[in-house]
Amino acid sequence: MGRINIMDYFKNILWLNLKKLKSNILYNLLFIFINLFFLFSSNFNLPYFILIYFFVTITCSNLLYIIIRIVSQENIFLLLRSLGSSILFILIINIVEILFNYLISLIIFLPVIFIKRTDFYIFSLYLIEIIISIIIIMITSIFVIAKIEKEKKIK
Amino acid sequence: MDIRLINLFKSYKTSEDRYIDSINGINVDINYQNYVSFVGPSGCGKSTLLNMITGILKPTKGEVYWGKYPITKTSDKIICEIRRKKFGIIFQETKFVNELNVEDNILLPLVISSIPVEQKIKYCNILMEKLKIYNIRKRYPDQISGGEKKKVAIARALINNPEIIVADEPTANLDNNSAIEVFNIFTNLNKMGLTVIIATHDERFGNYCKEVYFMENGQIKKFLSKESKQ
Repeated sequence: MGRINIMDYFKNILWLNLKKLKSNILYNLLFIFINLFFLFSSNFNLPYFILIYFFVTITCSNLLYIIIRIVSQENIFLLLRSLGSSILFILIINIVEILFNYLISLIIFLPVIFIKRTDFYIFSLYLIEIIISIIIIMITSIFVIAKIEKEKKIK
Repeated sequence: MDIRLINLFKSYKTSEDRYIDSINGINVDINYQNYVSFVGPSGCGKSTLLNMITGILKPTKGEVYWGKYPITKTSDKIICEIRRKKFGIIFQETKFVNELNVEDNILLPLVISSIPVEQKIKYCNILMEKLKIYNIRKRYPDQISGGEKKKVAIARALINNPEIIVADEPTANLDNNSAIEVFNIFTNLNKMGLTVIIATHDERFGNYCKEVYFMENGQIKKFLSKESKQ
């Protein structure tokens, strides 16, 4: 069996995610806006417990979005699997799709780091949020794929 | 690649914890470049059989051979790879990614196969022109008709230059003219050297094929080949 060119692999994943990003622009903008708010909150000189409160609320809302998004893509997973996609490929598409939004928020926020002194505490929280999101994406995706593989009723 | 189905059985567990047999001991050899159809009423096991031929479903008993590969003993990784490279699958309910337009949906198998999309844009345009769907390439799946969806599904199945085309009820929900048009496409693909495997409830379309297997209750009840038809 042939080898896969890793560059083409990620180029195609990027191509697919950019197309999907364009179609779901409203939801993605909302996701980016919420995360930007979290990042900007570091400049409000808020006490840490308020930041933690923001962190928990925003992480929960993001996770809810992620779970709903993945569960609603059951038919797409079924199609991709039927077309010969591996489980790993589906996991990567989903992770890249969400990481995209986190990355855009971070890029928009980047100039603020240079203009104002930003507490790096916020970045560690942001990183934790990303890690939790990746874990939830993987668990939810595997759960949805396992469900469709069990049903196996492709018509 | 030849496909051999050896003593195939498939049973499903129902919600009442009973087992129902969908496929009951099927033996079929599908040779390379053949044009085969499985004809029978709905519920006779055609879709299950096609899903086993494409390796989407594994048999409860028996074996499906893709050339030298027995699919029950082959890893998921190799099954996925062979399916990507050798098969073009057209589902009964034409499934699409609704966030992608017609053109991008046709290009989707390339994304999975890690073939650079831009390499195949030209070929995609040729396919769309041949199938007369070029003018709808920027539309989304919910903006096109049933006949157009079938053609998009055919184009998507062909984009990877497969060896085998598998189509489940390709004429379902189509008017007579569109159905004949779709079957003419399959006949031409077979003439071009592709193996074509079709499941249909419509006996008329058996005439297009070189071999017809009539199915009932998960079994092959009758077999007709082009020679025996003549």
